[in-house]
Amino acid sequence: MSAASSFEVLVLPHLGAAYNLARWTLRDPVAAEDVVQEASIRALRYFGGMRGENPKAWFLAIVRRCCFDRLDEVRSRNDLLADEDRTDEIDEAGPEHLAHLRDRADSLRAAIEALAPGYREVIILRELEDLSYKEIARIADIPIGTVMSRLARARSLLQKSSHLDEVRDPSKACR
Amino acid sequence: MKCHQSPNVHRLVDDELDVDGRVSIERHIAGCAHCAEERRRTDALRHGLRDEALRFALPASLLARVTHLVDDETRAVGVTGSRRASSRRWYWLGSGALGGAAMTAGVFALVTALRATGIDHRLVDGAVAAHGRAATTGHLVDVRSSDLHTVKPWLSQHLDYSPPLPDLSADGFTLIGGRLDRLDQVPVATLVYGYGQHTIDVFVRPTGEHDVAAPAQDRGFNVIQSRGSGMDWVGVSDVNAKQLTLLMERLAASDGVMGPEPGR
Repeated sequence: MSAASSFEVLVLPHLGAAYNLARWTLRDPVAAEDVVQEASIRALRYFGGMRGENPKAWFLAIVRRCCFDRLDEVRSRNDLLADEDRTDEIDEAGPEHLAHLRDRADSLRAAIEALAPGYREVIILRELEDLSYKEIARIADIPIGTVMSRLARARSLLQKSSHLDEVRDPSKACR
Repeated sequence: MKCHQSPNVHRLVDDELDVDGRVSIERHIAGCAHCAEERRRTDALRHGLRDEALRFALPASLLARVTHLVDDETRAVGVTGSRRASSRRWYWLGSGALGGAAMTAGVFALVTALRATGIDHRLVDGAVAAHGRAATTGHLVDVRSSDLHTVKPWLSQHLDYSPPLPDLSADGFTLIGGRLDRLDQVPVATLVYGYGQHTIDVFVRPTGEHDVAAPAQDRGFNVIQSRGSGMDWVGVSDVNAKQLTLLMERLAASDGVMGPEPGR
């Protein structure tokens, strides 16, 4: 099988996961499309060096790196866990903030976007992409223990900021 | 963290524990109010995240653009080899051998009998490749309907066997539709299910000679097989193994009857 056709079979099926990760990481649909294209070209070039490992995790690691390269142009890499302050803002706003949101989806979306990138990416990869701790560790280039602690912390932050217990159904969100 | 066991609550919720670990943490949760609450809140959050359409769908234009980019890149580098070569990998009888013979279940049984028994690796290979192709081309179904009474007759029109199609919506599996695939040069029915934001392809054909393989991971997808109700089922998806196993077990138990003995 040629390199191109095995790339098609092994990597292209994960474009959906790639776009979702890029979209949530960059919070911009246009930038997400650029990154997915760029990552796909990069992946095709490196493809020969991928030996027998999980192609989805391998490809998403490349997508993630492309995302952070792009974000680097704007902010420093060390801010990965820094802006928890935004999450507190949402928490302090309380139920009045919820009144502005149409439904539970909006509430959750805002809560996820408010997370610092280091927390947001583990939530996206675990909850939306259904990846294992080991795969997330591979993609984010962190130890499994760090995946676990970040995930627990991210879940705690989301529970507080999305007020999930209160927003059980759309009719309750708008008073 | 008020309890040192709370990391294990998360491991439990994420299916990251072995049997012993699960038993151990369940026992702990029964006696620990903090961990019971941690589990309840985590389940509620995960349920909420799954419920809403938070996963962004891949724009069709982006898929098309990347496919063309990959084509251009390989032409530029001068990579040779037919793009269709992979689809010929499993033509073991040779394309002329069966000539114009109709592909019936009888022929399928003959083909199966001629192979050595044991695990059919080619089947898994073909199933994963078909799943990947469907995802890549965006052509998920030939008949799009969540109504079993539409999909079932369509499938039996095009094949000479009719797989059972139970209603599994109570378990969260929605029927997206059906399509025909060719695995090992033989047409098979593919049932396409949705679970949350994930797609599951289930390739089903009458029970054959090969053993049912253990759960596996191939090219980033979970592959779970089952046997029952007269059929062999192969499920391929990036949904987690636990949910996929549940689907495969439900399908195999569709009519409450186990498959025929091998060799019959």
